[in-house]
Amino acid sequence: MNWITDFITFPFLQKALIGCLILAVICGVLSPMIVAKRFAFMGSSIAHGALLGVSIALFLIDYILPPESPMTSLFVFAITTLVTLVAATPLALTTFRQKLPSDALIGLFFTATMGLGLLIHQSLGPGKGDLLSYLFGNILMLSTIDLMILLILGLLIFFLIWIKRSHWILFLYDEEAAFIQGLPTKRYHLIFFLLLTLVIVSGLKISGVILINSFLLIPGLFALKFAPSAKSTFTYSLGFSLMSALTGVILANGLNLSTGPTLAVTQVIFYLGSQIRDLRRH
Amino acid sequence: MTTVQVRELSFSYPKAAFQKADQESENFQLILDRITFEVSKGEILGILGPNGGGKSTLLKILAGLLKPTSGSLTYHLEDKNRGIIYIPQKDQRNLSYPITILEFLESARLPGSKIPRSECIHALERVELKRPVNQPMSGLSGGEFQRVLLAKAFLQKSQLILMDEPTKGLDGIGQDKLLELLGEFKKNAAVILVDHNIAQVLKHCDRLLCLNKSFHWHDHKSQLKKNILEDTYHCEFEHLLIHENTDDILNHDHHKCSHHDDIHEHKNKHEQDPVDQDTKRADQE
Repeated sequence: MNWITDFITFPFLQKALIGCLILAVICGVLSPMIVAKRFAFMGSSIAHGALLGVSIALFLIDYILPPESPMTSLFVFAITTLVTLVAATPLALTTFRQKLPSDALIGLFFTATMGLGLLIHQSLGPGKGDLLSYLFGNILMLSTIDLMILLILGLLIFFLIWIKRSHWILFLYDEEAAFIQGLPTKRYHLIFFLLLTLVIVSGLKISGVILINSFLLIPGLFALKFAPSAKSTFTYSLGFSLMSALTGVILANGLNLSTGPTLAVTQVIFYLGSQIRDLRRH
Repeated sequence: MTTVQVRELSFSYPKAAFQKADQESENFQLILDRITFEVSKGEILGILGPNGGGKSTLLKILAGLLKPTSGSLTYHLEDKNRGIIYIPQKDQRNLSYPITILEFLESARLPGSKIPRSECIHALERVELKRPVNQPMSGLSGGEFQRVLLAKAFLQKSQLILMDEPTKGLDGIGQDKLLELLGEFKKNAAVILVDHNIAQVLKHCDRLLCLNKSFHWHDHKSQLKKNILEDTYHCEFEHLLIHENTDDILNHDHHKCSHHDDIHEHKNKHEQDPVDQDTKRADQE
Protein backbone atom coordinates (compact mmCIF):
# COMPACT_ATOMS: atom_id res chain seq x y z
CA MET A 1 0.00 0.00 0.00
CA ASN A 2 1.17 3.46 -0.75
CA TRP A 3 1.26 5.65 2.35
CA ILE A 4 -0.03 8.80 0.65
CA THR A 5 -1.81 7.80 -2.58
CA ASP A 6 -4.20 5.51 -0.68
CA PHE A 7 -5.89 8.62 0.64
CA ILE A 8 -6.65 9.68 -2.91
CA THR A 9 -7.71 6.22 -4.07
CA PHE A 10 -9.97 5.03 -1.27
CA PRO A 11 -13.03 7.10 -0.23
CA PHE A 12 -13.17 5.51 3.26
CA LEU A 13 -9.63 6.72 3.92
CA GLN A 14 -10.56 10.19 2.72
CA LYS A 15 -13.43 10.20 5.21
CA ALA A 16 -11.09 8.95 7.91
CA LEU A 17 -8.58 11.69 7.17
CA ILE A 18 -11.19 14.46 7.00
CA GLY A 19 -12.89 13.20 10.18
CA CYS A 20 -9.59 13.08 12.03
CA LEU A 21 -8.61 16.58 10.95
CA ILE A 22 -11.98 18.09 11.93
CA LEU A 23 -11.78 16.34 15.31
CA ALA A 24 -8.22 17.63 15.67
CA VAL A 25 -9.39 21.21 15.06
CA ILE A 26 -12.28 20.89 17.52
CA CYS A 27 -10.11 19.31 20.20
CA GLY A 28 -7.35 21.79 19.44
CA VAL A 29 -9.67 24.57 20.60
CA LEU A 30 -11.16 22.73 23.57
CA SER A 31 -8.04 20.98 24.85
CA PRO A 32 -6.21 23.97 26.42
CA MET A 33 -9.48 24.94 28.08
CA ILE A 34 -9.92 21.45 29.52
CA VAL A 35 -6.37 21.43 30.89
CA ALA A 36 -6.56 25.01 32.21
CA LYS A 37 -9.90 24.31 33.89
CA ARG A 38 -8.49 21.07 35.36
CA PHE A 39 -11.26 19.09 33.71
CA ALA A 40 -9.00 16.24 32.54
CA PHE A 41 -10.57 13.67 34.83
CA MET A 42 -14.00 15.08 34.06
CA GLY A 43 -13.43 14.57 30.31
CA SER A 44 -12.26 11.02 30.88
CA SER A 45 -15.27 10.35 33.06
CA ILE A 46 -17.75 11.69 30.51
CA ALA A 47 -16.04 9.64 27.79
CA HIS A 48 -16.47 6.46 29.81
CA GLY A 49 -19.99 7.50 30.78
CA ALA A 50 -20.83 7.78 27.07
CA LEU A 51 -20.66 4.00 26.95
CA LEU A 52 -24.03 3.90 28.74
CA GLY A 53 -25.54 5.98 25.92
CA VAL A 54 -23.94 3.78 23.26
CA SER A 55 -25.30 0.61 24.92
CA ILE A 56 -28.83 2.05 25.08
CA ALA A 57 -28.59 3.29 21.47
CA LEU A 58 -27.38 -0.10 20.23
CA PHE A 59 -30.22 -1.80 22.12
CA LEU A 60 -32.91 0.55 20.78
CA ILE A 61 -31.71 0.77 17.21
CA ASP A 62 -33.33 -2.49 16.01
CA TYR A 63 -36.70 -1.36 17.33
CA ILE A 64 -36.55 2.11 15.81
CA LEU A 65 -34.63 1.91 12.52
CA PRO A 66 -34.67 -0.65 9.69
CA PRO A 67 -31.45 -2.67 9.22
CA GLU A 68 -28.60 -0.90 7.40
CA SER A 69 -30.38 2.44 7.68
CA PRO A 70 -28.26 5.46 6.65
CA MET A 71 -29.56 7.20 9.77
CA THR A 72 -27.81 4.73 12.10
CA SER A 73 -24.92 7.12 12.85
CA LEU A 74 -27.24 10.01 13.61
CA PHE A 75 -29.42 7.82 15.82
CA VAL A 76 -26.48 6.50 17.84
CA PHE A 77 -25.06 10.02 18.14
CA ALA A 78 -28.40 11.50 19.26
CA ILE A 79 -29.20 8.81 21.84
CA THR A 80 -25.65 8.70 23.20
CA THR A 81 -25.55 12.49 23.50
CA LEU A 82 -28.95 12.61 25.16
CA VAL A 83 -28.18 9.86 27.69
CA THR A 84 -24.71 11.25 28.47
CA LEU A 85 -26.05 14.76 28.93
CA VAL A 86 -28.85 13.60 31.23
CA ALA A 87 -26.39 11.55 33.28
CA ALA A 88 -23.76 14.31 33.39
CA THR A 89 -26.08 17.25 34.17
CA PRO A 90 -26.02 16.70 37.97
CA LEU A 91 -22.23 16.51 37.70
CA ALA A 92 -22.14 19.79 35.75
CA LEU A 93 -24.35 21.55 38.28
CA THR A 94 -22.53 20.31 41.38
CA THR A 95 -19.08 21.16 40.07
CA PHE A 96 -19.93 24.82 39.37
CA ARG A 97 -17.83 27.02 41.69
CA GLN A 98 -17.34 23.95 43.85
CA LYS A 99 -14.55 24.55 46.30
CA LEU A 100 -14.55 21.01 47.62
CA PRO A 101 -12.64 18.40 45.63
CA SER A 102 -15.08 16.94 43.15
CA ASP A 103 -12.91 14.03 42.03
CA ALA A 104 -14.84 11.52 44.15
CA LEU A 105 -18.09 12.65 42.57
CA ILE A 106 -16.58 12.33 39.09
CA GLY A 107 -15.25 8.88 39.97
CA LEU A 108 -18.71 7.83 41.10
CA PHE A 109 -20.22 9.03 37.82
CA PHE A 110 -17.48 7.24 35.88
CA THR A 111 -18.02 3.88 37.60
CA ALA A 112 -21.81 4.02 37.68
CA THR A 113 -22.36 4.94 34.02
CA MET A 114 -19.73 2.61 32.58
CA GLY A 115 -20.84 -0.31 34.74
CA LEU A 116 -24.46 0.25 33.85
CA GLY A 117 -23.59 0.58 30.17
CA LEU A 118 -21.76 -2.75 30.11
CA LEU A 119 -24.56 -4.46 32.04
CA ILE A 120 -27.20 -3.14 29.62
CA HIS A 121 -25.17 -4.31 26.65
CA GLN A 122 -24.57 -7.77 28.14
CA SER A 123 -28.14 -8.33 29.32
CA LEU A 124 -30.28 -6.64 26.71
CA GLY A 125 -28.34 -6.45 23.55
CA PRO A 126 -25.46 -8.90 23.30
CA GLY A 127 -24.37 -9.08 19.70
CA LYS A 128 -26.14 -5.85 18.83
CA GLY A 129 -23.59 -3.52 17.24
CA ASP A 130 -19.89 -3.54 17.82
CA LEU A 131 -19.39 -2.09 21.30
CA LEU A 132 -15.65 -2.77 21.11
CA SER A 133 -15.39 -0.31 18.20
CA TYR A 134 -16.75 2.40 20.49
CA LEU A 135 -14.26 1.47 23.20
CA PHE A 136 -11.15 1.77 21.04
CA GLY A 137 -12.47 3.51 17.92
CA ASN A 138 -12.89 2.26 14.38
CA ILE A 139 -12.30 4.89 11.80
CA LEU A 140 -13.66 2.63 9.04
CA MET A 141 -17.11 3.10 10.60
CA LEU A 142 -17.10 6.84 9.77
CA SER A 143 -20.01 7.85 7.54
CA THR A 144 -20.81 11.09 5.73
CA ILE A 145 -23.32 11.87 8.48
CA ASP A 146 -20.54 11.52 11.07
CA LEU A 147 -18.49 14.05 9.14
CA MET A 148 -21.47 16.41 8.96
CA ILE A 149 -21.96 16.11 12.74
CA LEU A 150 -18.28 16.93 13.32
CA LEU A 151 -18.48 19.89 10.95
CA ILE A 152 -21.59 21.33 12.64
CA LEU A 153 -19.92 20.87 16.01
CA GLY A 154 -16.85 22.70 14.74
CA LEU A 155 -19.02 25.65 13.65
CA LEU A 156 -20.81 25.63 17.02
CA ILE A 157 -17.49 25.82 18.84
CA PHE A 158 -16.35 28.64 16.59
CA PHE A 159 -19.43 30.71 17.40
CA LEU A 160 -19.57 29.89 21.10
CA ILE A 161 -15.89 30.05 21.99
CA TRP A 162 -13.65 31.52 19.35
CA ILE A 163 -15.65 34.73 18.88
CA LYS A 164 -15.72 35.51 22.63
CA ARG A 165 -12.36 34.00 23.48
CA SER A 166 -11.19 36.93 25.63
CA HIS A 167 -14.17 36.36 27.94
CA TRP A 168 -13.43 32.64 28.00
CA ILE A 169 -9.81 33.45 28.84
CA LEU A 170 -10.89 35.42 31.92
CA PHE A 171 -13.32 32.62 32.85
CA LEU A 172 -10.51 30.08 32.66
CA TYR A 173 -8.03 32.24 34.56
CA ASP A 174 -10.18 33.55 37.39
CA GLU A 175 -13.80 32.43 37.48
CA GLU A 176 -14.57 34.61 40.50
CA ALA A 177 -13.27 37.76 38.79
CA ALA A 178 -15.26 36.86 35.68
CA PHE A 179 -18.40 36.49 37.80
CA ILE A 180 -17.90 39.87 39.50
CA GLN A 181 -17.32 41.44 36.10
CA GLY A 182 -20.78 40.27 35.11
CA LEU A 183 -19.89 37.36 32.85
CA PRO A 184 -22.56 34.64 33.02
CA THR A 185 -20.11 32.12 34.49
CA LYS A 186 -22.72 29.45 35.17
CA ARG A 187 -23.81 29.59 31.53
CA TYR A 188 -20.16 29.38 30.45
CA HIS A 189 -19.66 26.37 32.72
CA LEU A 190 -22.70 24.59 31.29
CA ILE A 191 -21.82 25.46 27.68
CA PHE A 192 -18.35 24.06 28.28
CA PHE A 193 -19.87 20.86 29.65
CA LEU A 194 -22.23 20.59 26.68
CA LEU A 195 -19.43 21.07 24.15
CA LEU A 196 -17.22 18.59 25.98
CA THR A 197 -19.97 15.97 25.83
CA LEU A 198 -20.69 16.65 22.16
CA VAL A 199 -17.01 16.42 21.21
CA ILE A 200 -16.55 13.18 23.12
CA VAL A 201 -19.63 11.53 21.60
CA SER A 202 -18.84 12.67 18.08
CA GLY A 203 -15.23 11.51 18.38
CA LEU A 204 -16.04 8.02 19.70
CA LYS A 205 -15.83 6.37 16.28
CA ILE A 206 -12.41 7.87 15.63
CA SER A 207 -10.64 7.38 18.94
CA GLY A 208 -13.05 5.40 21.06
CA VAL A 209 -14.10 5.90 24.67
CA ILE A 210 -10.68 5.09 26.08
CA LEU A 211 -8.45 6.92 23.62
CA ILE A 212 -10.45 10.15 23.03
CA ASN A 213 -8.63 11.50 26.08
CA SER A 214 -5.43 11.81 24.08
CA PHE A 215 -7.17 14.31 21.78
CA LEU A 216 -8.69 16.13 24.73
CA LEU A 217 -5.58 16.45 26.88
CA ILE A 218 -2.26 16.22 25.07
CA PRO A 219 -2.60 19.24 22.71
CA GLY A 220 -3.66 21.37 25.70
CA LEU A 221 -0.78 20.16 27.83
CA PHE A 222 1.63 21.06 25.04
CA ALA A 223 0.03 24.48 24.54
CA LEU A 224 -0.02 25.47 28.20
CA LYS A 225 3.63 24.54 28.50
CA PHE A 226 4.94 26.39 25.47
CA ALA A 227 2.47 29.13 24.48
CA PRO A 228 3.60 32.64 25.50
CA SER A 229 0.06 33.95 25.98
CA ALA A 230 -3.47 32.72 26.63
CA LYS A 231 -4.65 33.52 23.10
CA SER A 232 -1.73 31.65 21.58
CA THR A 233 -2.62 28.49 23.54
CA PHE A 234 -5.37 27.98 20.96
CA THR A 235 -2.99 28.20 18.00
CA TYR A 236 -0.29 26.06 19.65
CA SER A 237 -2.87 23.44 20.56
CA LEU A 238 -4.43 23.52 17.08
CA GLY A 239 -1.03 23.11 15.43
CA PHE A 240 -0.06 20.22 17.68
CA SER A 241 -3.42 18.51 17.30
CA LEU A 242 -3.45 18.79 13.48
CA MET A 243 0.16 17.66 13.06
CA SER A 244 -0.21 14.66 15.35
CA ALA A 245 -3.58 13.63 13.87
CA LEU A 246 -2.23 13.80 10.30
CA THR A 247 0.86 11.81 11.23
CA GLY A 248 -1.21 9.29 13.19
CA VAL A 249 -3.65 8.60 10.34
CA ILE A 250 -0.85 8.22 7.78
CA LEU A 251 1.09 5.89 10.11
CA ALA A 252 -2.00 3.83 10.91
CA ASN A 253 -2.68 3.30 7.20
CA GLY A 254 0.93 2.76 6.22
CA LEU A 255 1.72 0.31 9.01
CA ASN A 256 -1.76 -1.28 8.93
CA LEU A 257 -2.48 -0.42 12.56
CA SER A 258 -5.67 0.50 14.40
CA THR A 259 -6.25 4.24 14.07
CA GLY A 260 -7.36 5.05 17.64
CA PRO A 261 -4.31 3.61 19.42
CA THR A 262 -1.97 4.91 16.69
CA LEU A 263 -3.33 8.44 17.10
CA ALA A 264 -2.98 8.25 20.89
CA VAL A 265 0.59 6.91 20.76
CA THR A 266 1.60 9.46 18.10
CA GLN A 267 0.34 12.31 20.28
CA VAL A 268 2.19 10.96 23.31
CA ILE A 269 5.43 10.63 21.26
CA PHE A 270 5.01 14.18 19.91
CA TYR A 271 4.47 15.47 23.45
CA LEU A 272 7.46 13.60 24.86
CA GLY A 273 9.52 14.89 21.94
CA SER A 274 8.61 18.44 22.89
CA GLN A 275 9.95 17.81 26.41
CA ILE A 276 13.48 16.95 25.20
CA ARG A 277 14.54 20.59 25.44
CA ASP A 278 13.46 20.64 29.09
CA LEU A 279 15.24 17.35 29.83
CA ARG A 280 18.46 18.75 28.36
CA ARG A 281 18.09 21.86 30.53
CA HIS A 282 17.87 19.70 33.67
CA MET B 1 -23.06 60.49 46.95
CA THR B 2 -23.31 57.15 48.70
CA THR B 3 -21.73 54.36 46.63
CA VAL B 4 -22.91 51.44 48.70
CA GLN B 5 -25.44 51.38 51.49
CA VAL B 6 -25.83 48.38 53.77
CA ARG B 7 -28.82 48.11 56.07
CA GLU B 8 -29.40 45.42 58.72
CA LEU B 9 -27.40 42.88 56.74
CA SER B 10 -27.11 39.39 58.21
CA PHE B 11 -25.40 36.30 56.91
CA SER B 12 -25.24 32.68 58.03
CA TYR B 13 -23.24 29.80 56.63
CA PRO B 14 -24.93 26.40 56.54
CA LYS B 15 -23.34 24.24 59.20
CA ALA B 16 -21.27 21.29 58.13
CA ALA B 17 -22.86 17.92 58.80
CA PHE B 18 -20.28 16.98 61.42
CA GLN B 19 -20.74 20.17 63.44
CA LYS B 20 -23.00 19.99 66.45
CA ALA B 21 -25.93 22.35 66.39
CA ASP B 22 -25.85 24.88 69.19
CA GLN B 23 -28.56 26.92 70.83
CA GLU B 24 -28.07 29.82 68.44
CA SER B 25 -29.32 27.99 65.45
CA GLU B 26 -30.01 24.42 64.49
CA ASN B 27 -28.51 24.34 61.02
CA PHE B 28 -26.83 27.68 60.43
CA GLN B 29 -23.81 29.46 61.83
CA LEU B 30 -24.35 33.19 62.20
CA ILE B 31 -21.45 35.17 60.76
CA LEU B 32 -22.89 38.67 60.41
CA ASP B 33 -25.75 40.04 62.46
CA ARG B 34 -27.66 43.14 61.30
CA ILE B 35 -24.69 45.13 60.03
CA THR B 36 -25.38 48.70 58.94
CA PHE B 37 -22.95 51.07 57.26
CA GLU B 38 -22.38 53.09 54.12
CA VAL B 39 -19.47 54.38 52.11
CA SER B 40 -19.28 57.13 49.53
CA LYS B 41 -17.03 58.16 46.67
CA GLY B 42 -13.95 59.86 48.06
CA GLU B 43 -13.81 57.69 51.17
CA ILE B 44 -11.79 54.72 52.29
CA LEU B 45 -13.63 52.48 54.70
CA GLY B 46 -11.36 50.28 56.79
CA ILE B 47 -12.82 47.14 58.30
CA LEU B 48 -11.14 45.96 61.47
CA GLY B 49 -11.81 42.89 63.52
CA PRO B 50 -10.41 39.58 64.69
CA ASN B 51 -10.09 36.44 62.57
CA GLY B 52 -13.46 34.79 61.98
CA GLY B 53 -15.26 38.06 62.69
CA GLY B 54 -16.92 38.10 59.27
CA LYS B 55 -14.79 40.74 57.52
CA SER B 56 -13.91 38.69 54.43
CA THR B 57 -17.44 37.32 54.27
CA LEU B 58 -18.76 40.88 54.22
CA LEU B 59 -16.44 41.78 51.33
CA LYS B 60 -17.60 38.72 49.40
CA ILE B 61 -21.20 39.76 49.94
CA LEU B 62 -20.39 43.26 48.69
CA ALA B 63 -18.67 41.73 45.64
CA GLY B 64 -21.78 39.66 44.92
CA LEU B 65 -20.08 36.32 45.53
CA LEU B 66 -22.32 35.51 48.49
CA LYS B 67 -25.95 36.38 49.04
CA PRO B 68 -26.95 37.92 52.38
CA THR B 69 -29.42 35.97 54.49
CA SER B 70 -31.37 39.15 55.24
CA GLY B 71 -31.05 42.92 55.08
CA SER B 72 -30.56 45.28 52.16
CA LEU B 73 -27.57 46.15 50.04
CA THR B 74 -27.91 49.13 47.70
CA TYR B 75 -25.31 50.11 45.12
CA HIS B 76 -25.23 53.45 43.38
CA LEU B 77 -22.97 52.57 40.45
CA GLU B 78 -23.11 53.53 36.81
CA ASP B 79 -22.51 49.93 35.73
CA LYS B 80 -22.30 47.24 38.39
CA ASN B 81 -20.45 44.80 36.11
CA ARG B 82 -17.42 46.98 35.66
CA GLY B 83 -18.06 49.13 38.71
CA ILE B 84 -16.67 46.69 41.27
CA ILE B 85 -13.15 45.34 41.62
CA TYR B 86 -12.55 42.72 44.27
CA ILE B 87 -9.02 41.88 45.34
CA PRO B 88 -9.25 38.67 47.36
CA GLN B 89 -7.21 37.61 50.37
CA LYS B 90 -6.11 34.36 48.80
CA ASP B 91 -4.36 34.41 45.48
CA GLN B 92 -6.79 32.47 43.32
CA ARG B 93 -4.89 32.76 40.10
CA ASN B 94 -4.61 29.76 37.83
CA LEU B 95 -0.81 29.86 37.66
CA SER B 96 -0.57 27.19 34.97
CA TYR B 97 -2.47 29.40 32.53
CA PRO B 98 -0.14 31.62 30.48
CA ILE B 99 -2.35 34.74 30.40
CA THR B 100 -0.32 37.92 29.95
CA ILE B 101 -0.79 41.21 31.79
CA LEU B 102 -2.09 42.75 28.56
CA GLU B 103 -4.64 39.98 28.03
CA PHE B 104 -5.81 40.31 31.61
CA LEU B 105 -6.22 44.06 31.29
CA GLU B 106 -7.98 43.63 27.95
CA SER B 107 -10.58 41.48 29.67
CA ALA B 108 -11.72 44.72 31.31
CA ARG B 109 -12.94 45.97 27.97
CA LEU B 110 -16.49 47.05 27.60
CA PRO B 111 -18.78 45.39 25.07
CA GLY B 112 -17.90 46.58 21.60
CA SER B 113 -14.83 48.61 22.51
CA LYS B 114 -11.32 47.28 22.79
CA ILE B 115 -8.87 48.92 25.16
CA PRO B 116 -5.76 49.99 23.23
CA ARG B 117 -2.37 48.69 24.36
CA SER B 118 -1.18 52.24 25.12
CA GLU B 119 -4.00 52.67 27.66
CA CYS B 120 -3.03 49.42 29.35
CA ILE B 121 0.57 50.60 29.63
CA HIS B 122 -0.62 53.94 31.02
CA ALA B 123 -2.76 52.13 33.61
CA LEU B 124 0.26 50.11 34.72
CA GLU B 125 2.30 53.30 35.03
CA ARG B 126 -0.50 54.77 37.10
CA VAL B 127 -0.18 51.95 39.64
CA GLU B 128 3.62 52.17 39.46
CA LEU B 129 4.13 48.68 38.09
CA LYS B 130 7.17 48.49 35.85
CA ARG B 131 6.58 45.24 34.03
CA PRO B 132 6.30 44.56 30.28
CA VAL B 133 2.68 44.02 29.27
CA ASN B 134 3.55 40.79 27.48
CA GLN B 135 4.80 39.16 30.67
CA PRO B 136 2.68 36.28 32.00
CA MET B 137 0.61 37.00 35.08
CA SER B 138 2.03 33.87 36.70
CA GLY B 139 5.39 35.64 37.05
CA LEU B 140 3.95 38.39 39.27
CA SER B 141 4.23 38.46 43.04
CA GLY B 142 1.11 38.85 45.17
CA GLY B 143 1.71 42.58 45.57
CA GLU B 144 2.26 43.07 41.84
CA PHE B 145 -0.89 41.11 41.10
CA GLN B 146 -2.82 43.50 43.34
CA ARG B 147 -1.45 46.40 41.35
CA VAL B 148 -2.53 44.82 38.06
CA LEU B 149 -6.02 44.50 39.51
CA LEU B 150 -5.90 48.16 40.48
CA ALA B 151 -4.79 49.00 36.95
CA LYS B 152 -7.85 47.11 35.72
CA ALA B 153 -9.99 49.13 38.14
CA PHE B 154 -8.48 52.27 36.63
CA LEU B 155 -9.25 51.10 33.07
CA GLN B 156 -12.81 50.11 33.96
CA LYS B 157 -13.30 53.31 35.94
CA SER B 158 -14.45 51.12 38.82
CA GLN B 159 -16.43 52.97 41.44
CA LEU B 160 -16.11 50.46 44.25
CA ILE B 161 -12.78 48.83 45.13
CA LEU B 162 -12.86 45.97 47.62
CA MET B 163 -9.54 44.78 49.06
CA ASP B 164 -9.09 41.91 51.47
CA GLU B 165 -5.89 42.23 53.51
CA PRO B 166 -3.95 44.18 50.85
CA THR B 167 -0.95 44.82 53.08
CA LYS B 168 -0.40 41.15 53.91
CA GLY B 169 3.13 40.14 52.94
CA LEU B 170 4.25 43.71 52.20
CA ASP B 171 6.96 45.54 54.13
CA GLY B 172 6.28 48.92 55.75
CA ILE B 173 7.27 50.95 52.68
CA GLY B 174 5.25 48.68 50.40
CA GLN B 175 2.23 49.04 52.66
CA ASP B 176 2.50 52.82 52.66
CA LYS B 177 2.90 52.97 48.88
CA LEU B 178 -0.10 50.75 48.27
CA LEU B 179 -2.33 52.63 50.68
CA GLU B 180 -1.21 55.99 49.31
CA LEU B 181 -2.14 54.66 45.88
CA LEU B 182 -5.60 53.87 47.23
CA GLY B 183 -5.75 57.48 48.33
CA GLU B 184 -5.41 58.40 44.65
CA PHE B 185 -8.11 55.94 43.64
CA LYS B 186 -10.60 57.24 46.16
CA LYS B 187 -10.89 60.49 44.20
CA ASN B 188 -13.13 58.63 41.76
CA ALA B 189 -14.26 55.67 43.80
CA ALA B 190 -15.20 54.33 47.19
CA VAL B 191 -12.63 51.96 48.67
CA ILE B 192 -13.35 49.30 51.26
CA LEU B 193 -10.45 47.43 52.73
CA VAL B 194 -10.11 44.74 55.33
CA ASP B 195 -6.82 44.67 57.19
CA HIS B 196 -5.29 43.45 60.43
CA ASN B 197 -2.80 46.30 60.40
CA ILE B 198 -4.61 48.67 62.75
CA ALA B 199 -1.96 51.38 62.48
CA GLN B 200 -2.19 51.54 58.68
CA VAL B 201 -5.97 51.45 58.71
CA LEU B 202 -6.15 54.29 61.20
CA LYS B 203 -3.62 56.24 59.17
CA HIS B 204 -5.11 55.85 55.70
CA CYS B 205 -8.84 55.22 56.11
CA ASP B 206 -11.53 57.86 56.54
CA ARG B 207 -14.26 55.72 58.04
CA LEU B 208 -14.06 52.58 60.10
CA LEU B 209 -16.16 49.51 60.61
CA CYS B 210 -15.14 47.48 63.64
CA LEU B 211 -16.66 44.07 63.17
CA ASN B 212 -16.85 40.90 65.16
CA LYS B 213 -19.90 38.87 64.12
CA SER B 214 -22.83 40.34 66.03
CA PHE B 215 -20.78 43.31 67.34
CA HIS B 216 -20.21 46.18 64.95
CA TRP B 217 -19.38 49.83 65.19
CA HIS B 218 -19.26 52.20 62.22
CA ASP B 219 -18.39 55.86 62.04
CA HIS B 220 -15.74 58.35 61.02
CA LYS B 221 -12.35 57.43 62.47
CA SER B 222 -12.35 60.55 64.61
CA GLN B 223 -15.13 59.00 66.66
CA LEU B 224 -13.18 55.86 67.46
CA LYS B 225 -12.50 55.15 71.12
CA LYS B 226 -10.05 52.62 72.44
CA ASN B 227 -12.73 50.62 74.20
CA ILE B 228 -14.51 50.09 70.85
CA LEU B 229 -11.41 48.40 69.49
CA GLU B 230 -11.02 46.40 72.67
CA ASP B 231 -14.63 45.28 72.52
CA THR B 232 -14.13 44.28 68.90
CA TYR B 233 -10.98 42.29 69.47
CA HIS B 234 -11.76 41.14 73.02
CA CYS B 235 -8.26 42.33 73.86
CA GLU B 236 -6.69 45.03 75.94
CA PHE B 237 -4.57 47.50 73.96
CA GLU B 238 -1.89 48.94 76.19
CA HIS B 239 -0.18 51.56 74.07
CA LEU B 240 -2.66 52.35 71.34
CA LEU B 241 -2.86 56.01 70.46
CA ILE B 242 -5.86 57.13 68.52
CA HIS B 243 -7.11 60.49 67.27
CA GLU B 244 -3.48 61.49 66.89
CA ASN B 245 -1.79 63.19 64.08
CA THR B 246 -1.42 60.36 61.57
CA ASP B 247 2.33 60.79 61.57
CA ASP B 248 2.47 59.86 65.23
CA ILE B 249 3.24 56.38 66.33
CA LEU B 250 0.23 54.13 66.26
CA ASN B 251 1.50 51.20 68.16
CA HIS B 252 -0.88 48.29 68.05
CA ASP B 253 1.61 45.55 68.68
CA HIS B 254 1.58 45.78 72.43
CA HIS B 255 -1.70 44.43 73.52
CA LYS B 256 -2.76 41.79 75.96
CA CYS B 257 -5.11 39.17 74.66
CA SER B 258 -7.66 38.25 77.25
CA HIS B 259 -9.71 35.14 77.55
CA HIS B 260 -13.34 35.39 76.71
CA ASP B 261 -14.22 35.00 80.37
CA ASP B 262 -12.62 38.37 81.05
CA ILE B 263 -14.45 40.27 78.36
CA HIS B 264 -17.17 41.64 80.56
CA GLU B 265 -14.63 42.73 83.12
CA HIS B 266 -12.79 44.72 80.43
CA LYS B 267 -15.97 46.24 79.15
CA ASN B 268 -16.86 47.50 82.62
CA LYS B 269 -13.41 48.93 83.04
CA HIS B 270 -13.66 50.90 79.77
CA GLU B 271 -17.10 52.18 80.59
CA GLN B 272 -15.79 53.68 83.80
CA ASP B 273 -12.52 54.93 82.39
CA PRO B 274 -12.75 55.89 78.71
CA VAL B 275 -9.51 56.48 76.89
CA ASP B 276 -8.03 59.85 77.29
CA GLN B 277 -5.59 60.34 74.47
CA ASP B 278 -3.69 63.16 76.13
CA THR B 279 -3.19 61.18 79.29
CA LYS B 280 -1.98 58.25 77.22
CA ARG B 281 0.46 60.43 75.34
CA ALA B 282 1.76 61.85 78.57
CA ASP B 283 2.16 58.32 79.90
CA GLN B 284 4.25 57.33 76.93
CA GLU B 285 6.43 60.36 77.06
